[in-house]
Amino acid sequence: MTDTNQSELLLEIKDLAAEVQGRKVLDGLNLEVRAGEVHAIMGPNGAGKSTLAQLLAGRSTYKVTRGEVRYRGADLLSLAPEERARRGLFLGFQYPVEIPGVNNVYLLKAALNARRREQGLPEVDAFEFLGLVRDKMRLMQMDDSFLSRGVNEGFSGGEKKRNEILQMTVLEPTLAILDETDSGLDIDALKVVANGVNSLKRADRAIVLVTHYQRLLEHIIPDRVHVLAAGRILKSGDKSLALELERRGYDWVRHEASAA
Amino acid sequence: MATKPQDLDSLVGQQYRHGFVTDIDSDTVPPGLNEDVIRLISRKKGEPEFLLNWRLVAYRHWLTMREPHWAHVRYAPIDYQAISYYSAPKANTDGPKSLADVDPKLLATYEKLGVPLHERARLAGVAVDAVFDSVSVATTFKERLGEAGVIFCPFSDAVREHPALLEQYLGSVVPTTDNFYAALNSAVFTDGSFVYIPKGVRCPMELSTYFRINAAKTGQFERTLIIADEGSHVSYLEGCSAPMRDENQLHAAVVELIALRDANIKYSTVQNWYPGDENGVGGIFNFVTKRGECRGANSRISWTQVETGSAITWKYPSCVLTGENSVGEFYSVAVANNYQQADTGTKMIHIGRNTKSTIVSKGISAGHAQNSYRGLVKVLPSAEGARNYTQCDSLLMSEHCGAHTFPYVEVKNPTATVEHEATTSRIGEDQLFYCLQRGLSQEDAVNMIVSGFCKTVFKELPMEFAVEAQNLLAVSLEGAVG
Amino acid sequence: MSAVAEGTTPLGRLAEAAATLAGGEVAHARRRAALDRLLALGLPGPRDDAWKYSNLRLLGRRDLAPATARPVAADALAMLPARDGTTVVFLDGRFQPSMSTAVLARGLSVTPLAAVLAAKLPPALEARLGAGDGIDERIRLLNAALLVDGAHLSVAPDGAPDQQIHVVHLATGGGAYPRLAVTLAPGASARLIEYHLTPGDAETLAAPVADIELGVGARLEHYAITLAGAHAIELQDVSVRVAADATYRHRHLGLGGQLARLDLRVRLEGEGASTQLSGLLLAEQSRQIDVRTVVEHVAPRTTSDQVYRGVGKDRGRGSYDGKVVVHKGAMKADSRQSSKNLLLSPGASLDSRPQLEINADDVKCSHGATTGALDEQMLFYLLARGLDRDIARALLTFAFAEDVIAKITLPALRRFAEERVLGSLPAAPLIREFIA
Repeated sequence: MTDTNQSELLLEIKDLAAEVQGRKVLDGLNLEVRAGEVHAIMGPNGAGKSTLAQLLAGRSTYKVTRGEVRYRGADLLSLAPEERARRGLFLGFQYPVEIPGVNNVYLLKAALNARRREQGLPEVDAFEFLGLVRDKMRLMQMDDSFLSRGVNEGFSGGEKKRNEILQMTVLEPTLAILDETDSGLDIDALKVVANGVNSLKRADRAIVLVTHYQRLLEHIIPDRVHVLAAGRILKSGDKSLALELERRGYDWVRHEASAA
Repeated sequence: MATKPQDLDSLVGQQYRHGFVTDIDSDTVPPGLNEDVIRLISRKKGEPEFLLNWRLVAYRHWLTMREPHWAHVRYAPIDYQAISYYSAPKANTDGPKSLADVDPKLLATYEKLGVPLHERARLAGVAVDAVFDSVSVATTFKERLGEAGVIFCPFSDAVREHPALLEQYLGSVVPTTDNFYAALNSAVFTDGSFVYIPKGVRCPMELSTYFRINAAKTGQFERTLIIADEGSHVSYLEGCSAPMRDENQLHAAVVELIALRDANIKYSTVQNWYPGDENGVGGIFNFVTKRGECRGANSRISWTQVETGSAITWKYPSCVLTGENSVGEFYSVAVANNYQQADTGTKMIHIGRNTKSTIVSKGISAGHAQNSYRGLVKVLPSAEGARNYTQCDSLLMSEHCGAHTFPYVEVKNPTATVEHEATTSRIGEDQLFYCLQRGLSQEDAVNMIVSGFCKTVFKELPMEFAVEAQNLLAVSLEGAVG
Repeated sequence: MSAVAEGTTPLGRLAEAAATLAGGEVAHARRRAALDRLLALGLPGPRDDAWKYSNLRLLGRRDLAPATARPVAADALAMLPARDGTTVVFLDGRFQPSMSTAVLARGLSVTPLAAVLAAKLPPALEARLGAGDGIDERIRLLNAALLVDGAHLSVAPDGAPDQQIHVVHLATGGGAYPRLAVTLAPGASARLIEYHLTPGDAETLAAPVADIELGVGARLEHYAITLAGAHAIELQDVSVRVAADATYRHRHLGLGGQLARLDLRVRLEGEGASTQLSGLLLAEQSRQIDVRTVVEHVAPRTTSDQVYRGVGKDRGRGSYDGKVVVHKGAMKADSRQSSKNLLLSPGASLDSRPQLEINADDVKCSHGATTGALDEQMLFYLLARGLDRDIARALLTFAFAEDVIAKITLPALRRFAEERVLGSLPAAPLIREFIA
């Protein structure tokens, strides 16, 4: 990373190691993400990509054994998951859970108001909110029936992913981490999701895409591409690295790393 | 599929394979039960005073108890005075000192059962204790086990040679007052196996006991006690058979397992007592109490059973999970054909923090049989973070049989997670058709599907037993689908 | 019967009370026969497996005699949701014409039983008035031994479809032992909504018994809403017979009482008969809720579906014991059971026994039971969207109960039930918004 970049350092991960049920999943991971950037974290299955995403959002299943994570200068790991969310960290889940009986839109409204309270902004009322969410739903090509359903209840895989992106566009996070948002999407849905993400690109915001295919990166162009394997970042580069990975697989990165 | 489909033709007409009688002189006490009989048994065994008293306390309590009738089984009343409580092959009343002392007829019997006792004939990895009617007739590989410090001997020997261990542990998991049959067993038990694995020792071979009822009008009341000291490991196998007779014979055993800190006990059973004939005449009443206690932290007790025999089965191998992080497991295949009745399952009692249990039960009912799963999962307030998962499936193979599921789930700690799932259905038409379309015979198809149904349990069995279990399954279900 | 029984024990006091009841020679003899049998059997105790979770020691020294109806405030029913159709009120087990609505829907008849009981009835009816065919003879005998009143509700073949019949049970103290007989003619349909209330929160024992018969193709949606106070013991017994192609639904809301027990037996006797049972067991404070169901598939092609949800808070105890029996010959029977329990406090306990007794081979039966705390993944999802932990927990608790509340088809009743559940959660106004 160049030191000429003067934009805010949003996320700073230093030598992070973590385990789940005694098994090492992250081991010495370093990463810096600055405002305005789009990062892609790629890697083979089981490399620790989802672990990283969930850990950053505060999932307690993972035990941090070493290292630190700073988010906008504060110690991220000491914050409860809901505090992280309110301070603008958004996780788009790989497998969004269904919560029957809890209305989709009201959850979103509560989430938005929790964030606005944190920012010292007035809460939006139901009417205002509905207008806002309808606009975003059009962008995501979602129909009105979505308004009356339970959270992800009975949604198809693609609908769930769209719903995640819809939530993101409404909540306008500072740092969005999208965990395998492209998996299970057909090509049309992929474009819709990519549009949603692209609509959010801004100088004061960063997006981290966790994926193991390069096809999402044809629609959302990353500034930096990282290869995560064996619990740490083995290689970083620009968007051309993603193409190279597509062509050559991951093994050469591992070999290169072990040779170094 | 791991095993080849059974050649059904070779099995046609093959019924209970172990139903022969060995013609051997026995020392059998006359039928009937009173304190004198108990004193006689104790004297014949040369028992210390504490054990006689222990028996008498159990007997006196038994007299105040009533036979339980809550199980989903039916049978004519048992006359406990018509049973002989002691029978032993005559030449060996004091127990054999070595294989050379064993009556050749007995050796031939076990040979015929597929349990050769000659050590060189036996698979090198398994030590066997053979119990014939009321007494142990042979224990193999004693010396090699002795080198590792492992005690594996007939219960009668343990009484004489290890009284301190016995006094400390006997009845500590299944007290004499536990239930009607356990009390009866405590009063009259005659032999069985005793195992002690010292601290930190991984038992160098599988231990196995083979139980055989031979004499008529006798009951078999054996007692097994396994103690796994801290950090030790043992795998124990149990097999059994009996001659074909028209009368019902009572088998009321007690098995106690104790796992101390970090110890691991795996107990596998292939139960093939005579099930009675196709009209429901004769067969063994198998009323057994099996329980293990994970007394120490991080200990594990795993029960695996394949139940194909007995006219009536009443048994619930259970785990008391006292130690923190201890683990209890129960894997069961219970097959009931003709007029067999099985009421079997388990109890998982969660007492310690972060204790875990898994129950997998597969019931197969055919003919006019009644097959019940009965299980209790109990989480006490102290069992912070306890977890249980239960999967309980029944397969029905005839319109005259019954398949029943009686789970009891009792949870008193809000951090516990308990999950129970059960299904009951006929053998899948789709699966059957698929196999037939690929050219399999009806019987082969059924066998394949049934062994697939049982696979999660079979894979828990030690290798030698898995094959035997698979074969038994095929024999037990022979003619069940037509 | 025996001198020791009299006076001090609950059974002794029941015997004394039964002797003093009015109703003439026939009614008296009928009660005496039931009482003798009950005295011989004894009341269920904790050693009785079927009563392991219902503590009848609570009967203690309380007055069990049928209460002589005390006056209740005119607005005693005001707390209930708005009711269309007919309302039949029982005050301490006796039919109360002045509080009931007189207007009957087409095809519905309501016959009070007090007068009927004075005369000898046909043997079949007499048998049902005695032990009958419920799950536990003893509850029925208790009811029969102290029976003074009840009602026969019947809907004719040409009755107005889906009409609502509200039956309100008010108990003001002592015992209440009403008997309901419900008959739906072939093709008839109705909704029967029973409420159980104890205005004044007195110590009460109610043992209402209902016998329900559905003709061919009939449909009944039966609600039982327990709103009794913290000193009420309630032992409801319902026995249902369902003819071919008929459908019986039972929706139970256990929202009150000190000990609230329901014994529900449904026999699917005709081909194609079906039943759907559901219940919410809100076991909070020191409440005990004990639901026992027996569904019998007697005829071929019968279906049953059971969904029960238990919530354990404070020192509450809840138990669900549901047995599905498939009789020989009931081919193509299809049955499902789901029992889920949510434990929220260390002092609470929840027990679950979904049981299957299958005696036919061509069937599809399954059950699932889970007990645990709130779903970790759901909780994390809500937290990751910035919700307060307390709100998220309350919200998920509500959503859990909603599984069964959503099955209520009467809008007013559904809102009422939701409000009741919300009332037991923190931050109700906030959560109300989230209801899907």
